[in-house]
Amino acid sequence: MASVGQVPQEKVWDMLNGCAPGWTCKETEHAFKIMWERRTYPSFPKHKQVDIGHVRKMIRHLEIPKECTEKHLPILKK
Amino acid sequence: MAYYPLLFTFLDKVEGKEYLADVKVHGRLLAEQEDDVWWMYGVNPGGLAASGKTRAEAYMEFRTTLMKVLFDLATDAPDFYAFRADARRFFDEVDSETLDEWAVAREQVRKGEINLEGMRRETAETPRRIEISHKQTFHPEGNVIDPQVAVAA
Repeated sequence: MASVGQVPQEKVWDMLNGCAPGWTCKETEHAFKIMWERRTYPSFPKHKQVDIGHVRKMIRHLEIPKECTEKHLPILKK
Repeated sequence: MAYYPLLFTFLDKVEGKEYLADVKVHGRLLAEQEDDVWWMYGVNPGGLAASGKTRAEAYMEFRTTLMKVLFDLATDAPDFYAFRADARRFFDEVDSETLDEWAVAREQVRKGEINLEGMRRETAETPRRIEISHKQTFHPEGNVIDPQVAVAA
């Protein structure tokens, strides 16, 4: 998976709102724990700009439809 | 872009509410080199990624990230048994896409199409697992360091 580049955190939340309805997030001491449909990604960075590799892995891990995520975050198409 | 299938073992201890857990993570990860950046994507456990300017830097970041997840689980868990159950769930949650890429990369290693110089090859892959025990006795023999990371072959 191509992993160079960054995405603003708020764009990631917008993507989740659009592609993973019902997603929830809990802030832990070290990261954001993102949950969707019985799956959990417990290590999403708290940074305002997030490296694309973290975003791609979170999307894969939560099994969010790829076409939808690429529509919201065109950088993922690269 | 190149992918490498790696096998790792992390040996550490996690302090929780009124307990100390001895943790052994026998996991696997998919390493990727793109431009001047290394990424490490978790296979087991699947819910993490880390990067660095070198392979060693990315690997250390991956280990740190994994331990931070375990520390967060220990913070939330009311007791040792809840922590162990949560940690096992975390370890077993895999995404099929990364798992498939890892398997393809291992085949490429077996065919000699990719190679990581200076890294140990492990052909007889032991089962991937997380072992967590409630530490109640203490001896100097309990002080251990991680075995060297290996390429799955």
